[in-house]
Amino acid sequence: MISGGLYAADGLILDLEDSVPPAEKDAARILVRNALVALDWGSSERMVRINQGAVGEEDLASIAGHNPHTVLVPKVEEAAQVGRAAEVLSGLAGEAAAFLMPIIESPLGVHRAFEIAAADASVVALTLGLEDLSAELAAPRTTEGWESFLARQTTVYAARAAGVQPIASVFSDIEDEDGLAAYVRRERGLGFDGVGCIHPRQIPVVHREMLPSEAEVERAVRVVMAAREAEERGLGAVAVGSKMVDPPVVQQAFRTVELAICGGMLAEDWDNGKK
Amino acid sequence: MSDSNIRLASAGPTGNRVRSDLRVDYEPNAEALTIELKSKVDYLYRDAIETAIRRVVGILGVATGRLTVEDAGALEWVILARAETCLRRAGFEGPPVLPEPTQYAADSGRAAAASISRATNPSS
Repeated sequence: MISGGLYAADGLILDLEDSVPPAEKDAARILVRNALVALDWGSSERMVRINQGAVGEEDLASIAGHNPHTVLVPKVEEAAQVGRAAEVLSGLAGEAAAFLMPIIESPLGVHRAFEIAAADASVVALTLGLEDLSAELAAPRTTEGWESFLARQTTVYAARAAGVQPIASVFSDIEDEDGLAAYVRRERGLGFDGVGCIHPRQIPVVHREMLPSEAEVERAVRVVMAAREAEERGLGAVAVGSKMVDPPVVQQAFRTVELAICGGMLAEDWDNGKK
Repeated sequence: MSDSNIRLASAGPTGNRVRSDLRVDYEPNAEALTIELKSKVDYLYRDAIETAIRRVVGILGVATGRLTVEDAGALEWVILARAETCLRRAGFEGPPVLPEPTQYAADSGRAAAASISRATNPSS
């Protein structure tokens, strides 16, 4: 935890849930609270995973006033759980209340994924816990991931429909870098915006594999430039070379360019400030 | 709170493999408070560690008993957290004992949070 800010993860999650035994919840709350006050988080978003139910509300009472950016709510199966977390946070921190990221970890949660993602305006992302889900499905987690395909795809659809970010589950073998890279490519291909990590060595792999390829960026830049030119000239249709480009492709190109900027593949002023 | 509510308590890990953390034990008795401190970085940080412990003791109103601290290079906010946990488990009450806020802790990640917010609400 102490050196977490050094690894340039997009977010650091301090856990109060499964990694903390019941008898140590009180100690963990105080440690996490103090970390929110005094830890060097670097450029990482400040995130905390709380417990379920009443224990989770005790967690919130301890951390809400200390500027967590996002609170992860575990084992969500109904929208009311999200609503309750938002209500408690709002009561404790007012307008400074943290954003929420519900975690889906059961078949029932998958079934209600959209209701959960759309439960409150403070929800900014939706993720799923594949280990717990696999246990509930009685289907052990495999490298291929067919047992959780529906859950992962449903999470992406629900998140997109609700206007929040879908974040993929963690890859649990920290020794298998090639396996992680393949996993990240697959999850990105399904539409996920990010992947959870359980070890610092996974961070550069996830960053690398979540980025578009150079060829994708090159094409996206051409599409964005053409879209801007068409807008300036008052044209409804966008053309790249001799080919017409549909609006969804233009939208995807803007997103690819934004990702390339975030990942350092393009300078922020790649277009010399032309917006 | 009466003294009869005060009990033996401890917080933090023990053992040779502990790093950047500490163990705090409290034993109630009727004598004036004593603090016994052992640290791997005693020669450099003894005063700072003791100051942190005394800050917790003062805020939670601990006047009697025996505190034993075994430090393995913990930062101040960790020392404060372990001492506060131990003394609350012992039955002492009082306001939270917060470390000094750091500017980077308050500011860091705002860009990331703003980025999520923008992704969620592209019009904002």
